[in-house]
Amino acid sequence: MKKDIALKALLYIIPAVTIIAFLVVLSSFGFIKGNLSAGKQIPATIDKLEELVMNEAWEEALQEKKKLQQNWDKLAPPIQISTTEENIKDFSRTLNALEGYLRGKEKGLSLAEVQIIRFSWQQLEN
Amino acid sequence: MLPDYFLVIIRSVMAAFSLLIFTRVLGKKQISQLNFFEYVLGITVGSIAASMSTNLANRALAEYVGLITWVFLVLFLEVIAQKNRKLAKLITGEPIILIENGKIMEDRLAIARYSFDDLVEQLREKDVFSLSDVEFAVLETDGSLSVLKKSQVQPLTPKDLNLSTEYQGLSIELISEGQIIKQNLQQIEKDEEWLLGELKSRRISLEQVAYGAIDTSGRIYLDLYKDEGIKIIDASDYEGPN
Repeated sequence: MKKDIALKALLYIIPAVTIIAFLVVLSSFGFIKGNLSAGKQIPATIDKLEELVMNEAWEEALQEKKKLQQNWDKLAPPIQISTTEENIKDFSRTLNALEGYLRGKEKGLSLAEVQIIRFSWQQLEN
Repeated sequence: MLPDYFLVIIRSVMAAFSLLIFTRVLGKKQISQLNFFEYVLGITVGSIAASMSTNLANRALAEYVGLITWVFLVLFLEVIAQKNRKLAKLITGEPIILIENGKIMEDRLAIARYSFDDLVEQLREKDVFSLSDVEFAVLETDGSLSVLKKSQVQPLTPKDLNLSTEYQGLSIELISEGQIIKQNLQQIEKDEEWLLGELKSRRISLEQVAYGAIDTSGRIYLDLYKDEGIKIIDASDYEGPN
């Protein structure tokens, strides 16, 4: 009798837990962003990049961009399920454009790309 | 980055299992029993699940929340319809009598946007080929037509002849794919020993039985894997997979 009740309870609990688990996975972006070290470093890296571009420290800015790229490469796979394909591609595209402008020592365009990266980072959650 | 197809697989698994759970929650109504609103809701829920599965341009969470919202909306309306008769009528509509005492109600046909052709077609589906045989015809909320034939053309039943009949209930499954269903045996207050004895008296082993059931009069029906003495007719003229 007790076994039957436990089994019946499981038949209700398993579907409920499944739905909740799916909801958690699909809304995991905020958690990953705040808890994965790569995610935590990205905002600070964007700020530093902006500062380096303002000071026209191109070599250091390229190094910082490389660091940003590495963090992004670690972060992108786990957040792909909880954000859109377009958001992911936009971020990657902007990073590539920034590298070109840094190599060409284009201050204005580099700054614009840094702003887009900052905006894309915020948009990833939407 | 993960490839697109991998994301589609993950999202599809989530959508499929969720749909399985949601359809179990929503009940066992067949498509033929759904009213038009429920039918459209079902299509909407399926479309959202399909979009969640393959449309990577949309955030999966947004589509999943949409899916849950629609399912709970359907559930909510179903509960309301059960509790409140007036609201049920508002949500599902009510049956319309199209033929009353053998007369076609033209004004109600117009309300239901039904043509004579529609009416005659649905009558034929009910094995009624002459309108003069019909006493009442009711258009149900799911679009089906219920027909009450005139008493003169209704089939004769044992009751008409004052004949007594035996009680006939549901058959209980005892063996499936060579396996004894112990729970059902307990229900009829028998044990495995009894069942094996019955099989032995018929010179059959348990492994030979594909399906076995007992009816309310105690008769046992057995279907064996090996259908001896039967020439199997192949009615198909198609060689591909069925």
